[in-house]
Amino acid sequence: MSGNQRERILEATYAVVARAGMAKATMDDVAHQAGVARATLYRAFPGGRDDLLDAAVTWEVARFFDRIAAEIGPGPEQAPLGVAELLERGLVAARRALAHHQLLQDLLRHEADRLVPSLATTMPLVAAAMRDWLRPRLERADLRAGVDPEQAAELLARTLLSLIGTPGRWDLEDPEQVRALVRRHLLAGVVTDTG
Amino acid sequence: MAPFAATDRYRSTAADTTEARVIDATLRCIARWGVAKTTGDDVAREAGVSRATLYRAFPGGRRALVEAMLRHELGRFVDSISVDLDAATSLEDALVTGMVGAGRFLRDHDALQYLLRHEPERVLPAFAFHRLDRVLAAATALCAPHLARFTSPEAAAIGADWAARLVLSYSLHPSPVLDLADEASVRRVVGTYLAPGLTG
Repeated sequence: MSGNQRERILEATYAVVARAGMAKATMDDVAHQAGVARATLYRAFPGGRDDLLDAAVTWEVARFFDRIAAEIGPGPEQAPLGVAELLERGLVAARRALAHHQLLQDLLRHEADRLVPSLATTMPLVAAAMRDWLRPRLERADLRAGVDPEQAAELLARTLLSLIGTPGRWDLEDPEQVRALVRRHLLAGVVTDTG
Repeated sequence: MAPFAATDRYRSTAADTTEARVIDATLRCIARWGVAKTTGDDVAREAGVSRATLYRAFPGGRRALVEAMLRHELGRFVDSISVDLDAATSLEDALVTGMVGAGRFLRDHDALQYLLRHEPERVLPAFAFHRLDRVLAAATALCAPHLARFTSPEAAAIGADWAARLVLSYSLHPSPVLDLADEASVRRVVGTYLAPGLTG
C-alpha cells in the first residue's frame, strides 16, 4: 500500500473519531471515509480496530509535534537557536497547542480510559523522536563534563513530555517561569552556559 | 521543619482501622483478579467486614476508595524509605534513595503491576494529564521536606517533582539511561543532570 493511502486512512480515522468518538468509530466508517475497500483496510491494519486507532493516535501526536517544531523554527533564513531558547519556545508552544486541541480535550473528558492507554503506547515513540531531534542540537552546544548527548537528550525529552502533559507546579504561559525552568533547572546539568 | 507532619496527613487512614483494612483488602483482590472482577462482596469478605460496614467506610463509593488507596500507598511508600532518607547526608543521597526506593516500590506493587499488565485502561489515566497533577503534588508534599534539609524549600519541591516525573516515566517505559534498579545508574543521572539544577 502506498504511503499516500496509509496517510489517507489515518486522516479518515481521525475524522471519524472526531465525529463519533473512539468507542463508536468502526472499520466500516473509516473505510467509507477514506474511500477504500474494507479488505484494503484490514490488510493495512491486520490488528483491526485497535491497531488502527493506535496508529491514528501515533499519527496525530507526530503531526502535533511536527507543527510545534515548525512553529518554533528557526526559519531557513535565520540563525540556529540555542538549546535553551528552543526548549523555552517548545514548552510554551506545546502547552498552548495541547490546551487548544479540541479533540484531545474532548476525548480526555469522555473517553480517557480508551485514549490514555493508546497514548501510553505512543509516548515512547514520541520520546524517541524528540530525543533524536534534540541530540544533534545538544551536540552543537557547549556541554558540561560527563554529559552524554544521547542520554541528556533522552532525559530531557521524557521530562519535557511530562511537563507538557502535566505542567503541575509550572505555569507554562509565564515566560519568566519557563525561562527559570529551562535555564536554572533542566539545562543546568547539561550545558556550561545557560545564559 | 517537621519532616513527618505531611506524612501523617496522608496516613489518616491508619487511625481508622476499618478504612485501612478495606484498602489492604482491595489491593489484595486487585493483585489477584484485577479491578473488573473484584466486587464489593469480594472486598468485604477479604476485609472481614459486612457490606454495610464497607459502604459506611467509603460513602463516596469507588472514587473515594481509589483516592484513599492512592493516599494510603503514597504514605506507605514514604514510610518505606523514610529511615534511609533520614540517613542521607546530601541532596544527591536523598534523591537517589528516593528514586531507587520508588522504583522498587512500584516494581513490587502487585496490584499496580497486575493492572499495568492486564487492565492498563484502569490505572494509566490516573497518572496522565491533569490527574497526574495530584499525584505529583502529593509526592512532592511528602518528599520535599526530606530534601529541604540540603537545599532551599523551593529547590526541594522542584527536585521532588522532577524526580517523581522521571521515576514514573522510567517505571512505565524502562531504558538503560536510568535503571531504577541500579543505584549506580540512578546516582550517575542524579549527580550529572539533576543536582546541578537544584542548588537553591
